[in-house]
Amino acid sequence: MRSPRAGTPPAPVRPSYESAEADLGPTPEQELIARLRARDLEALGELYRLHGAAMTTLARSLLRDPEEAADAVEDALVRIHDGAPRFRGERGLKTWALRIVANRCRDALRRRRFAGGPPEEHDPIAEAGLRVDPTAEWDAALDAPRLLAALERAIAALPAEQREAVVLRDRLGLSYEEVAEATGASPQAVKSKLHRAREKLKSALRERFGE
Amino acid sequence: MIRDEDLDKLLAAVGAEAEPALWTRTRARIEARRGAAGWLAWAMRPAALGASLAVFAGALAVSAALVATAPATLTDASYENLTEALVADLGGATGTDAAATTGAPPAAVPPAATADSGGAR
Repeated sequence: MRSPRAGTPPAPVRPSYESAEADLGPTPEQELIARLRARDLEALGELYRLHGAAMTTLARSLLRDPEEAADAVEDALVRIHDGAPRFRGERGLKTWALRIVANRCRDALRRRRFAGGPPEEHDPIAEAGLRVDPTAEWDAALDAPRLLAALERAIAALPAEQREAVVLRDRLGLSYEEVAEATGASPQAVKSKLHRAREKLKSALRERFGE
Repeated sequence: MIRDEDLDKLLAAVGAEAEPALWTRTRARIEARRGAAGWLAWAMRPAALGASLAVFAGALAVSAALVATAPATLTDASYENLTEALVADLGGATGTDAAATTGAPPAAVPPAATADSGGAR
């Protein structure tokens, strides 16, 4: 799980020798993409080891049902395997994988007839198959467990596209551009969705805990 | 009031781990599909297709030859139904046998023979 992010989005990790990339040969990601294109199953396993946590977090945060989320991730992996020969690598492997998971989740949400939030007496985090990072730190004055549960309920109540943007950006730490790539929206639209979503989340927390 | 910084931390503190069992299941699914695809590819090989077509053509030729050489004893007669054809066939055979042994004209078929399904022969 990613460590808590402070304020600004994390910059994409780029090797300092990027300008000399041609001399040093392909990066590990490029090698992995090449192996995926060749339908190497071990490469797909490596992709899952690298990005499986993010894929699972996205699916569970969007669907809030561990079984359904597992099906979505499994389908996404099969699609990645099938579609890898056509993947040109213009967007990062993680973004591509998350885009496919998000698409599968959208399909699953469309098939649902009823999408109610978790019952009040249930722990919304555990019920969705999620967990709180034990190393996460915050202001001691915050009632973190209650805030986290309330926040999760508020996320569950967001419209699907806002929930997707919040999870990709604020939970998984993607940049605006990466969220835009993963959702098929423009970066401007992503910023707008995120702003609205965060206002709703803060408003929900204010209603529950007061100013 | 909750600050943006706190909201960021709370949002980022929740996640999930990858499930090794899910990868095992996915791998098995892809390998099973590959097995099926391999069989289909084998069946679609040009040599396999050619061999299948040759066997089919051979079977057609044998069938046609068998039909062409089959005796057509009833093809020149016009009968209303199968019963008439069987009775006529039976009568002809009986008459021929009788003529061969006695030299007499073919005897009339007894009424009981029409109800017989051929056990009398």
